[in-house]
Amino acid sequence: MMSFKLIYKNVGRSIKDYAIYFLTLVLGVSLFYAFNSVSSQPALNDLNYSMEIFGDALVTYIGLLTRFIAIVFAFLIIYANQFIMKRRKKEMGIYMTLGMSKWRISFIFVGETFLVGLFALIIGLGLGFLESQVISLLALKMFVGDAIGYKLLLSKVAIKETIISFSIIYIIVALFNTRNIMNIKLIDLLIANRKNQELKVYNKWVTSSLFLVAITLITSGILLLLKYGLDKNYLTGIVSLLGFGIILFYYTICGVMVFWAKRNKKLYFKELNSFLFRQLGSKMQINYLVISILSALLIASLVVLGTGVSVTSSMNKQVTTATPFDLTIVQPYDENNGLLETAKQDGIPLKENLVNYVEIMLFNTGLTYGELFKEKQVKLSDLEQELLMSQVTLITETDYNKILKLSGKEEIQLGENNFIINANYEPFNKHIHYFLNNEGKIRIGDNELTPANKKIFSNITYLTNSTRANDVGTVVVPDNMKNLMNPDSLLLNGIFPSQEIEGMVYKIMNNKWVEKSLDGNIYYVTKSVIQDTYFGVFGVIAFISSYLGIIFMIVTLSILALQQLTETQDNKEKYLTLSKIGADEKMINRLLFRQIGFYFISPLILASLLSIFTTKVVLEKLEPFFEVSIKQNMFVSFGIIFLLYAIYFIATYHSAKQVILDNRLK
Amino acid sequence: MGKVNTILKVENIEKVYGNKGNVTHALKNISFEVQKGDFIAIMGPSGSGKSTLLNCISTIDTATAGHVFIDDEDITKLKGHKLSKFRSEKLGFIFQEYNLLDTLTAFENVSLALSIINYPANEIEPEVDRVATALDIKEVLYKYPYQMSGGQQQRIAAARAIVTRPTLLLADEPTGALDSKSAKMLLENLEILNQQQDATTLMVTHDPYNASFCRRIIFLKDGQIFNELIRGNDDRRTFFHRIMEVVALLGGNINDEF
Repeated sequence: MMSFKLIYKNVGRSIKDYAIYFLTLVLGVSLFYAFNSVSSQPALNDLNYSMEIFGDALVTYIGLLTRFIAIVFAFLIIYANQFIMKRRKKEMGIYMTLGMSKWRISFIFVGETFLVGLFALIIGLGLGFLESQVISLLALKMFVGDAIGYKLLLSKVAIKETIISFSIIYIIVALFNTRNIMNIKLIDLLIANRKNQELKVYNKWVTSSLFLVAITLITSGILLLLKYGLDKNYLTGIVSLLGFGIILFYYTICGVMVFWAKRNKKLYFKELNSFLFRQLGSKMQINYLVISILSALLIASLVVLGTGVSVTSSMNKQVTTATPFDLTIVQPYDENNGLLETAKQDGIPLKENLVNYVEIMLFNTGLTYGELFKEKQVKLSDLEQELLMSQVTLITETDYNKILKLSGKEEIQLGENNFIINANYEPFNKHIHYFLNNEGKIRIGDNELTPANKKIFSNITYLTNSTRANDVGTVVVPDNMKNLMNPDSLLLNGIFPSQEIEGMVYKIMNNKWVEKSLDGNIYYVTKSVIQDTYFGVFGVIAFISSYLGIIFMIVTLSILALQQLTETQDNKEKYLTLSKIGADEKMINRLLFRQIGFYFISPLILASLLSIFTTKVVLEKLEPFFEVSIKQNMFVSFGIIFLLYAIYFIATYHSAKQVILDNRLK
Repeated sequence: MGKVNTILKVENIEKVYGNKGNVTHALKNISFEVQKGDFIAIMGPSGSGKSTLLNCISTIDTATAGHVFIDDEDITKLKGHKLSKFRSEKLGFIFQEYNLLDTLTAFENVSLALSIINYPANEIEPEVDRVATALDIKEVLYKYPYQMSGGQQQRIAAARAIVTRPTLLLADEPTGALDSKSAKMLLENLEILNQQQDATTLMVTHDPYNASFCRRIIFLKDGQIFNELIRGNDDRRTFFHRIMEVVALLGGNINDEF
């Protein structure tokens, strides 16, 4: 009973010490929940066919990322917890001198951890719920244009995940604390403040060779990453190579720096430099793991930020190029009815609402894509295997030109017995290219056609909201082939006078054609629908990743700032000694500036290097989903990072100055 | 002795703590002079103002009234950068708690004092070597503070204090944290530094034994100079007994621990 009272009172009393720990926990829980609830968003669950591959990948990577985030948070929480333990060593010592058993003491500390953890979990979940709502609301507003689809959503899965993960983390922290308390000696607790820090002395050769090993690990990690990309079979290996490399790098960098600086006497013996280098060296001996983790966090934030920003910006470009018209309708060939007549019969006021339109015929000749590409069979996904079985689409030169004219493009001219291929499905393009340059002949009836151009035309022939119906290859043939081919389906591309009318017509079509469309007897899509679904989902993902990136950044910077401030606090005496032996204010400020600067910049060194390569690889992986290439746009993300960095750095530097100012000689 | 050279001149120093309702006069109208090559102890019971006096001389604290001249410069008028510069060039400090920087080796602790005054980089090593020889700490120069004994640490601190050849060496209870053997060794070292390197030294202590190493002793009581002793040609034992007599006169218990 006494212990419970003590636990309760202790938390209240050490609220200031617990503030950082508590804040870390709340932030951690809320972010963890917010991130996990993303994957259970309904928007992601009813992905259309095209998005399924992407969705699968997303779920895989979100799963991986969740584990990663959990580990990061575990580390962060243990770190914050150690900070508290350090502050309260004396208190523990007093308990022990009063004769409290170690078990009892650790019970108290574990109890405190759980009490604080419980509060943090509750508040964190609440905050996380709000965060996830804000994200989805903002995302919907930004990318879909309205928030109609917005629903208050409490993800049970995410709550469960969060509670389980954090319970595990709390247990680890509790074990950690208990072990610490069990191993503690009373004398160390009571003189905790006076004890000189023990330094491991660097061995010059060992350190230098370990540093070289670190560089080798990182370099080979990067090379493997560039070679194999995000291939699941190699990913673990690459990540471990890079991970060990990073840790080793930060473990040895300061030692190497000290050796190097010592050789340069002019530098080493200038002002407070010897103190600066030694101080950095000794602090890195303790903090290399923290810095490595921060570096990893920075990599994650740079990558998601870079990816998010790149995807968003290329999406905006894509949305205009991918939708040159407002409407596409496709129906199987019907002798009696054209598309407009079908619409009229079904009670859809189509013709009167279109400003401009083209109606064309799609043909087939029985030829499949598989036969077309038989020369070059490359490893294909299941989806692509299926595509190979389908028939090659053909259209006439006149119809093709009609489409080009409607989209405001220049028309083409075909010679007799010539053809061209229009295609814009990235994975097939290399096969088509091979076909055009090698075999290159198509038979229609008795005629053998040859390519007018070995280049692939990449115009948009119809709107599509799925990868499958993308133009995997449409053969454009002279008009006189018309009678030698089998009519396959009718296609209509149209332009509406305004978005309102487009919406109105789309609603009517949804009403009248729902069954037909489910039976596969008609396919229709409008520009806004594409924007809403296809780009909407990408947009949300891009937006969320940018958001996550920034949050990661803030977490990283907060840790750095906290660490520097507590370090300054702990080293107050040293600064006082420096000023007693005659270092003036300017010198000490410069020292502080360099010291904090080094800490802020060192995790960024490896992070920026590695994130450039990782982002490149991630974007390459994403590119097939976008058809057009994503321009790697690191400028914006680096800009954001540097801005945040500058803000945190200046704030930290000034607070640190304040800390030692109270303690400085006049 | 040739021409007498006044290094430190304390003129009517006052130090007042507190506010209107509750005023403490820590120092009342204290004046004295220190000549080049002097080895002076300031003695007094705790609360007598000896540390306050040292802090005012060492520019760590400021006097409420009066002047302190070091090398004819009024240090009560110095501020900011000039004050730091003065402190690093003219003064050397030895503290009770050594105040060594634990991330630096002994060598670096000593050399730092030279780096701060922008001493030429290639002349730093011979200078450190000079004081290390004098203080017999050459064999620990490349160790870290935690690898040394208290006495060694305090001698490193002494080396740091005198390596810049300060006009005045200030020591505040330098043996406070040392065992008697290390304390004796340090004091002998200070005596040698005073005699051989001509280091003018001002030491604050409450211990008559420590004080007996000095050439001159100023006794403080309640913020005022109570008495002054000059060793002259006495040996240490005789001087020690003379000190004890004054301590008895001072009344109260000079050893604040009891």
